[in-house]
Amino acid sequence: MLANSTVAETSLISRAQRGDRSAYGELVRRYHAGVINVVYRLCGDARLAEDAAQEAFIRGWLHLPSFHEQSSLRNWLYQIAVNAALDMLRKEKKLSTDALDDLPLASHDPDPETAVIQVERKTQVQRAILSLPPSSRAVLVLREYEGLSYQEISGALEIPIGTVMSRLNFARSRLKEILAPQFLSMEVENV
Amino acid sequence: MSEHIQEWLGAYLDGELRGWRLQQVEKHLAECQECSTELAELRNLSALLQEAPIERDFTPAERFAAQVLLRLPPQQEPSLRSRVQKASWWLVPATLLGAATFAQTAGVVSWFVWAAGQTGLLGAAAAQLQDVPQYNLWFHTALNLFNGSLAGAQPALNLAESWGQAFLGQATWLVILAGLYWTWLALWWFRHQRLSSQREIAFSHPDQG
Repeated sequence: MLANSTVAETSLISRAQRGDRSAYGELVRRYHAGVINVVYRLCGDARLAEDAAQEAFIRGWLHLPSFHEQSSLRNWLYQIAVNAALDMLRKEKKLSTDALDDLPLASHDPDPETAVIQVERKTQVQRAILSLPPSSRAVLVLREYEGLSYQEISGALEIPIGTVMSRLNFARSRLKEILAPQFLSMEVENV
Repeated sequence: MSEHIQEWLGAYLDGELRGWRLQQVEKHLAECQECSTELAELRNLSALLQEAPIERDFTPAERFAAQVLLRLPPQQEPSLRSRVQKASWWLVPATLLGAATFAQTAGVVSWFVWAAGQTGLLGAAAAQLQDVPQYNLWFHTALNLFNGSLAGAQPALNLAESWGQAFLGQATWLVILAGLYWTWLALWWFRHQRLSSQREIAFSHPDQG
């Protein structure tokens, strides 16, 4: 199964590298969710995230002939997506705490009190993530939300593994400082 | 108790530690309450981050892909740098093998020409081909010191000396070329391993279905 999907993907990449747009369309559909997830966590703004994701896929198409087939397309696209999102933020001159109005306010929980708490948590978490420097935020998002290994992050962002670790330590310790008063200490008691 | 290991806790939580570092962290955690609490906090932080999923209504994948396809410009040709990089993976070993073959052939041919000259097979042409190179002067000077006593053995000594020079020259070149070839092979292998492992992880990622 894994081998089949690998072969299918390799074939799609080869076709797209030769200019086959429908093959590239299939790759876009496959990686749409992951790329959107990464750029939204980085931007904190749905409109910016969609623009950055489109920009990332267009850059991916333009540079696809230089892509080495032995590499991971997903990590390669994440690298482009992170750069596109950071460029977009710079261009908009909008550091994403402004975008918190854009955060979801609805919750699926039927209990109104629980729903309010959950929304409050999500807002706090997203606000805390957006308060991180972009370089640390990118590493945190790729690790926590996309589950990339340190080596993969190192390859995707073109930074040494030691830097991945130090940025991740920094991001986590900042988040702990910001979020601990409300949530972490409470949860530690429950462990 | 050993020193605190906070800087390694994140990597431990992420399953990135191996070998003695992993053992060190586990041993320390077994005896240090402060670091254990820190680890629990990191676990809770990770759980808290996971509790905040994206609930935006983004454009569905089908429509998004259609929008991207509409905006795609003509594809760029690979850059010169990337083409050179790609070609170098087979150009380097091909060049090294070519150089090794050339060195080997040149050495063998030179020796045969010299040997033919010594035995008089080349006639007048031998004089031009047998010029003594500078690096052989010490050998001929040493032979002259024993002028007379070694005269009978001189052709055999010349042959042996020439073979030695040719062999050493060739061996040096071959060792250098073999070193470069093995370095290339090691680089290629490490690159292949890294890319393969990235690819395997990429395809086994839950988000990819």
